[in-house]
Amino acid sequence: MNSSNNLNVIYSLSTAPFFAKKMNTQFEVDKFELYTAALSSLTRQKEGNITIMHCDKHAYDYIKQKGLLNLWSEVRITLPDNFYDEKSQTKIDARMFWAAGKLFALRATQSPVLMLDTDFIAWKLPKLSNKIIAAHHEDLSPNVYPPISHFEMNEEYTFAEELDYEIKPLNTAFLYLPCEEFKQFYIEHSLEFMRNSKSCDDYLTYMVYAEQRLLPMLAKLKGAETETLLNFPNLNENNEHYTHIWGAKQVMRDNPKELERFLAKCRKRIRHDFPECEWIISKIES
Amino acid sequence: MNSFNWLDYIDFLNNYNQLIPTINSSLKSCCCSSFRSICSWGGSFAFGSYNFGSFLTGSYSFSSFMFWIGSFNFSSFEFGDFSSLSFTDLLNIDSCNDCDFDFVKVTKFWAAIKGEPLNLFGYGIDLI
Repeated sequence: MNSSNNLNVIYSLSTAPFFAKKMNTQFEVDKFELYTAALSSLTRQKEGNITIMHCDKHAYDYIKQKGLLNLWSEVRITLPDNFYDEKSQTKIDARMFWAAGKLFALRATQSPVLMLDTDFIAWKLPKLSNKIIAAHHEDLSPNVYPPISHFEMNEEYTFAEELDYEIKPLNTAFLYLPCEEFKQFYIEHSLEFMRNSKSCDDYLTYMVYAEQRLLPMLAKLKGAETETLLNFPNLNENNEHYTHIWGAKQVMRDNPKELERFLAKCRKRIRHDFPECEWIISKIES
Repeated sequence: MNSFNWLDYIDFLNNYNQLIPTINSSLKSCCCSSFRSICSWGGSFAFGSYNFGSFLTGSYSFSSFMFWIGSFNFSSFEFGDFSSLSFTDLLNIDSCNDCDFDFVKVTKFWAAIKGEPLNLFGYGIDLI
C-alpha cells in the first residue's frame, strides 16, 4: 500500500503545441488555468505531496517571468522543445498530439506517480494501492474514439491483435500509476502510436487514442487493475473531492462575466485556504 | 435534490439573455426532434403536480414559461428530478436544421438553472 505522503504529483506545461499553431505569437496561459494550477499544487502540497511541474524551456521562461516558479515544489525543464524525442530521434507532431508533453513528463518521473492536469484539483486523494487510478471512463463515442480503421499509420505500424478494443477509455486528467514497469510500457506504446501516425488535421481522435484509449487496453493486457474516481457520465454526483474545469474553459473564453465570476471564486478560495499566498494572486493578476 | 438558487437564475438570465429570443422562436415554430427532446426533458422536472412539459408545448411560449416560473417563490422550492438529467441525455439532444435550437443553447440553459453554469462543462467547479 502506497502512502500519499511524499508522493510525487506531476504537472506538465509544453509550448510546442502552441507554437506549432501560432508562430510568432506570445505564449500565455489563461488566467483561469493559472488559478486552478495554483489551487491544485497548493492543495497537494498542504497534504504532504511533492509537486513537480515539468516544462520545456519556453514554458519555464514564461513561469519565471510570471513570478510563479515557487508555486510548485520543483519546476524542471524535462520536456523537449518541438516534441523532438531524443530517445527515438524522431519528432512528434505537436499539433496532432498536443498532450504528448504529459507522456514525456511521465517518462521523466519514477512511479508511483500521480499526474494531474493543470485544470484539475484533487481536494482529497483516494486511497492509493497497486491499482491504476484515472479520473473516469469515457464512452466509446465514434466521433471521439473511432474504430482503428480510421487511423492512417505508417506501414511498419500494426495494431496489436491481443488488445481489447471494446474497453472504455480512461480520462487521464487524474492518473495514478503505481508501477514503473507498466508506466514505461504505456509510454512507449503511446509514443510509438504518435510517431507512426501520418500527419493530418485531426487534432482529437489520434491524441485521445494514444493517451486515453490505449491505457486501459494495455492495462488489461498486462493484468493491471484500474479504477476511477468518478462514475461517468454522472460526474457531479457524489463528487466531493475533484474539480476539473474541462469544457468550461471554452465557456469562460466566450463569456467574460462567467470568467470573472470563476476568477473571483478562485481568489476567495486561495485567500481562505492559503492566506500566506496572496503573492500568487498578485502575480497572476499582474 | 438541488436547491434552486434564484440569484443564480437571475444571473443566468442576464448572462444568456441573448439566447432567449432564439429559444422562444424555436419553441413557437418548430416541431423538430430537439423540440420533442425538450418536451420530454421538461416533463422530467415536474415538481408537485405541475409538469413543466405542458408549458413547453402547445401555445405557451418560452417567455410565458419564464413568467410562469417567475411567479413562484423559489426560495422555498427544490427541483425534483431535474438533476437526474445526465450528460448523456443532453448529448442525445441534436441540433436542428429547421431552427436554432441546438445542444449548446440547451445545455447552457440547463446548466444555469442547476445553479453552477460551469459545472455542466466540467465538474466539481462548485467545490472551489
